[in-house]
Amino acid sequence: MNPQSRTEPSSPLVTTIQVLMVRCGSTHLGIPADLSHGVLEPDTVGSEGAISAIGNKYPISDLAGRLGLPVSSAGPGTRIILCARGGAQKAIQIDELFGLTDIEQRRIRSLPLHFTGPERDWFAGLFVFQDRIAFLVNPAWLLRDEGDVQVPVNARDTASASRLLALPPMQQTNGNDAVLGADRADSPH
Amino acid sequence: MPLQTRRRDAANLTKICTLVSFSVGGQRLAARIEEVGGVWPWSTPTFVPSRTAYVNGIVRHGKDMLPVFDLAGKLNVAVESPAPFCLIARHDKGPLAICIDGEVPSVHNVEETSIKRTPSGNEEMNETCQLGTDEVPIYSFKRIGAGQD
Repeated sequence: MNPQSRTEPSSPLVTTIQVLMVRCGSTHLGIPADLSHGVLEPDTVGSEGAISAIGNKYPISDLAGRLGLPVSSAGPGTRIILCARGGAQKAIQIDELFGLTDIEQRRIRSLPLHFTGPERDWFAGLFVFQDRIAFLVNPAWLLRDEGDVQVPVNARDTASASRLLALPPMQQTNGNDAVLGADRADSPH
Repeated sequence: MPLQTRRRDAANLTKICTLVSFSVGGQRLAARIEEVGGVWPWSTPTFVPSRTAYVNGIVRHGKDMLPVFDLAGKLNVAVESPAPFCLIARHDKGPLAICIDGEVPSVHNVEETSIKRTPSGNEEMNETCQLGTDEVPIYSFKRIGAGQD
C-alpha cells in the first residue's frame, strides 16, 4: 500500500489502527492490517487444504463456520486473505473485500457485557463502518489452531506470489467514518 | 397531629408498585417501571455472531449501541407488528433493547401485595399481577442472563 494514500491523524494524540475491511455473509469485519500478507482470488487456490505462497504454507480456515455464520458459495467478490503473525498462518475466505482503512482507537468499543459467550474471544471490539456496525477480529483467535475445517475451493494451480492482488486503499472523511475510495493500481499491499 | 399517630398512619400506608404493561407476539407482559428505561421506535438491528442465548444483535440508539435481547425468541413467539417498539430494559450490565409489539405500553399503579409469586420455570418471569381482567406475568429484566456468566 502506498503510504502516501493514508490519511494523517487529525492530531498527534489520535491513535489509529489500520484494518482490512471485509464482509462475511452479512457481517462486516475488520482484520488488523498487519496480519494480512496478501489477497487471492479463490480460483487460484488449490484444493489441498492449504495455500503455499510467499514461502509460507497457509492452512485454509473456515471463518464463517467458526463464527457460526451460514457458509455462502463463492461469488465474484469472494477472496482469500492470507493471514500470519508470530509463526502462525491461516488463509481465510471472505465474501467481499472493501479495502484498507484507519480506525481511530477511541471509536472502537468493547462488546457489550451482555455477550458472555466465545464471541468475546472472537472480537476485539466493534466500530461503525459506512454507517454499519463492524467487528474487529481478535488476531490471536483468528490465527489460533482449532482444528480448522477445510473449505472446498475451485481446483486450480497453487497460488504464487505474483498473483497476489493489490488492496484498494480507502479514503477517510474529515473525522468521520471511513468511506470507500477508488482503486489504485499503484498500491500493492 | 401527635407524633405517635403520624407514625401509625405511615405504617398503614400501602406500598404502591408501578408496572409497565406491553405485549410481545401478542402475549401481554409487564415490567417494574424501575427496570424500564424508555420506549422508542424499533430500528433494524445488526446481527452479531454470538453464542449467548437470546443476545444476538445490536441496535444503534443515538451514539449508543445497545445489545438486543430476543424476548420474543425466548417466549417462542414472534413480533409481527409492522411498526414495533424498542423497549429499553435497565440491567446491571447496561441497557438492553427489546423488540415489542407496536401497541403503546401502558402504566399501572398496583399494590405491592397484589403481586403474586408464580413459578413458571423461567427465573426471569416468576411473578404475576392482575391488570384489568388479565393475570399478567411480570418480566424481570434485571434477571436476564443471571447465572450465565
